Amino acid sequence: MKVVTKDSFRLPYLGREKYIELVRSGVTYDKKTGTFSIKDADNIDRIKLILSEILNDDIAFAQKCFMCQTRFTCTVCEFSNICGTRDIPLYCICKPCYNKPDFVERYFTRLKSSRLR
Amino acid sequence: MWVEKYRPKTLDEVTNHKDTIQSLNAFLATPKAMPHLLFAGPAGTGKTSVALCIAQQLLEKHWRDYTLELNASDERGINMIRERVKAFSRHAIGTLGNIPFNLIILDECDQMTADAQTALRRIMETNSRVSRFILICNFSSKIIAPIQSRCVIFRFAGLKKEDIVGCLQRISKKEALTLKDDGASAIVEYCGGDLRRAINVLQAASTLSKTVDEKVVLQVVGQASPKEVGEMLKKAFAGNYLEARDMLYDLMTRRGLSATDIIRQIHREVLKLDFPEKDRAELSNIIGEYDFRLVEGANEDVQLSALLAQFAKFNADGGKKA
Amino acid sequence: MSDRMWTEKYRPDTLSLIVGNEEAKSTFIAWLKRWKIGDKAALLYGPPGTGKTTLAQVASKEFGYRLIEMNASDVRTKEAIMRVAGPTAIEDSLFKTLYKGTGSMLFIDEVDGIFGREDRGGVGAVLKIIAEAKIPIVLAANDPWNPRLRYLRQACETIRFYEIRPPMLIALLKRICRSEGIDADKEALQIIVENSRGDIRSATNDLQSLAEGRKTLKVSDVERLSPRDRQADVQETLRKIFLAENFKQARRALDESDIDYEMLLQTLHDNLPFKYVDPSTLASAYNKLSQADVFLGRITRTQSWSLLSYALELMAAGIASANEGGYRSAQYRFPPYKIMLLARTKAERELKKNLCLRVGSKCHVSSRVANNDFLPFMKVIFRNDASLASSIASWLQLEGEMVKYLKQVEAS
Repeated sequence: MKVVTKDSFRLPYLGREKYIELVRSGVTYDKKTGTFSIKDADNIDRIKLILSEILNDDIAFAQKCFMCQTRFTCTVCEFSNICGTRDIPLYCICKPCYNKPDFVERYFTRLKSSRLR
Repeated sequence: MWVEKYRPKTLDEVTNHKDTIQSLNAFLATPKAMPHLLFAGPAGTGKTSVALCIAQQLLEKHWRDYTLELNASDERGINMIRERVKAFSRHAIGTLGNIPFNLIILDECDQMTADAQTALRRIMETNSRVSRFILICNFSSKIIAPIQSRCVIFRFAGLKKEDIVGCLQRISKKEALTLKDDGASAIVEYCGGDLRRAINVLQAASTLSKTVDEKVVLQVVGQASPKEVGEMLKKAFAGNYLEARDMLYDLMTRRGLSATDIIRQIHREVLKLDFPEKDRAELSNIIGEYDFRLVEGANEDVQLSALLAQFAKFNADGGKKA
Repeated sequence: MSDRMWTEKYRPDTLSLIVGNEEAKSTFIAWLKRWKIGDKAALLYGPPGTGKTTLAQVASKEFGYRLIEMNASDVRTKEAIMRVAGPTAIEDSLFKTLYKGTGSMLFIDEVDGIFGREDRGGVGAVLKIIAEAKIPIVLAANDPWNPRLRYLRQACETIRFYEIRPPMLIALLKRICRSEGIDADKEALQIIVENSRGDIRSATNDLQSLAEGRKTLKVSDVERLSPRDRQADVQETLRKIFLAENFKQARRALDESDIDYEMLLQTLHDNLPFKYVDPSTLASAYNKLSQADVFLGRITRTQSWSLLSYALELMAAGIASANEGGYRSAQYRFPPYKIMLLARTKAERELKKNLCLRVGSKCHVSSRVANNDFLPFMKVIFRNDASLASSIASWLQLEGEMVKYLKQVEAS
């Protein structure tokens, strides 16, 4: 299984067709850094399928912890069975942060201080 | 797992189906002329192994890159299959050198509805320039005619007891096991003609003892203990439906038996009971019908509960109730 | 009952209290910040209760806009829209607002509901407003993929909202509990969250109905929260179904029931022997349910939902098989026994499914064959031979949970 970080990931050489498919599904390419990123998660299922074919493996998208910014995948999450957005690359809360005793206060503090671009 | 470890890697290594292998070798001699193939036959008789051997022989070193394996029952609908075939075909063709085409192995295609098969035929057609399909199924009669006509059909007969025992003995020797005759017979009886299942039973048995006899085998398969299923059936035939069904739930949940295991046990146990000939035939029919529904249906417990309910029509001491 | 609904009392009034959908939040703020006349409208879309309306309200306040809210249900016909917002009535203050641009923002909620038969002109009018108005326009929808909304989507910057994820929703509920002086178990909140499907509104409502006036909230208090359907309603529905005197009545009762089809079939089959005492009637009724189940299986595999009608017919036929008098019990068993077991083993089923897929892919078989012909024997191996187990586990790349499952000793 390959873990893909939606903000920046690399791919092996793609044919033109695959590239177009990816772009149409919401992926953009930065020539300077040579990396891809998912700008639009609307067609995330489609993107997952295409990436899975390109990389010839199962794909899991990395989640980003809203509190500590670390990345993790949904496979380790205790809520993965009740979560409706499993595997979609969004902000979440990692296990260590969630299990901290003052998690709720920290979360709302972080919410207050998070910068909105 | 031994099933993979001892899977034949070339067609020569396949011990059975000599005629089929001969014909296939003829095709492999002129790969470009190879048609689509349809392998039909009971479970665990070597269809997938032969398909994989063909892939390795034809596509050589990087055969895995040019082979797509799909299961009709695991893919969610014909659209998913189409997507995967499309994507795979595009991806594989890019770097085809002297490889004649890529291979798509589609298993359990008799599980597909007629509509899905029609769509499959179109998929086969659109991709026939670059792909060859090897379709695998249990019952070729369930494959629609247009597909059958586009394939060369190879029948894989059920393996005979000697063949299975022979294979098990070969594996036992390589794994430093002693497989007693009664053990081998027990395995064959439990597995029907399914070699794959038999090898798994053997491997499981080997973890219990280095000498595999009937007792060890029964330990392995004893999860589906005849006693409990027999009890359940007695209650069902006596009209004690609710109790019978509770036993069924218990077998399925707490004991974790699969529905297929249970229905096979039911069949075995029913045959042991003393019913008049006519009733036995009807019972077998009913069980067969529900076996089929088990595969097609959404809820195994509904099907098995319904099956038990059908038994309540028959008397425990033979003869149908009025 | 308290003074007010917690959904109102705890509605965020600042951006820093809006939970979840961080990306949507920042995209929307950015859109609003740089908005100028001629820009596209914003279309916020996603499941209910995820913060679309709240975001529009809070953002408008923080940026100093006066928010004009319209619900698509208020706005039914093209004429109505034009009447409310069109250029016909010059004296109309709303018109003035829209076309003179005086620091207001227009919010049209549930815009995917604007397309009933009566609203044929709805889209056109909204598009016209978007094109001509001089104030920012925000639309909200649950499902903008309705093809009739295609032109609307093109005229908007679409911003997607997702279900609120469990940890964040739990944090939100916990905060409410603290404020209300309730000591709630994390597990209890988890069950509420599971039921809510990421919908803040319904989670808050459930919390209020369960916790109001109490000092503590434990798992046992929450367990009676039946998924989707409340017990009383369900009993009523089942009564109607089982007391149906003929096929037509049964069919109607099924159609009207709110219960989802899987659950319905399970419930019917579970209760069948309680209704039919005579073995041959039971057998025949069960036969029909079994056929209904086959249809459900086909529907799941092929997604041909048109077959659902047949499944329901068979279910109804199964119920109305015979008109029998007495029933063994007046209460119907709900949730069906299997569901209760399933709920307990939901995680295990998911695990088993993934395990079967993994075995299937490595051993070239389908997950069904993996389940029937591999798993039982792998269990034996894993229980008796640790070293073989670990080499198989690494060959199959099994996760720890899967290994544990295979090693499980059966409860006797």
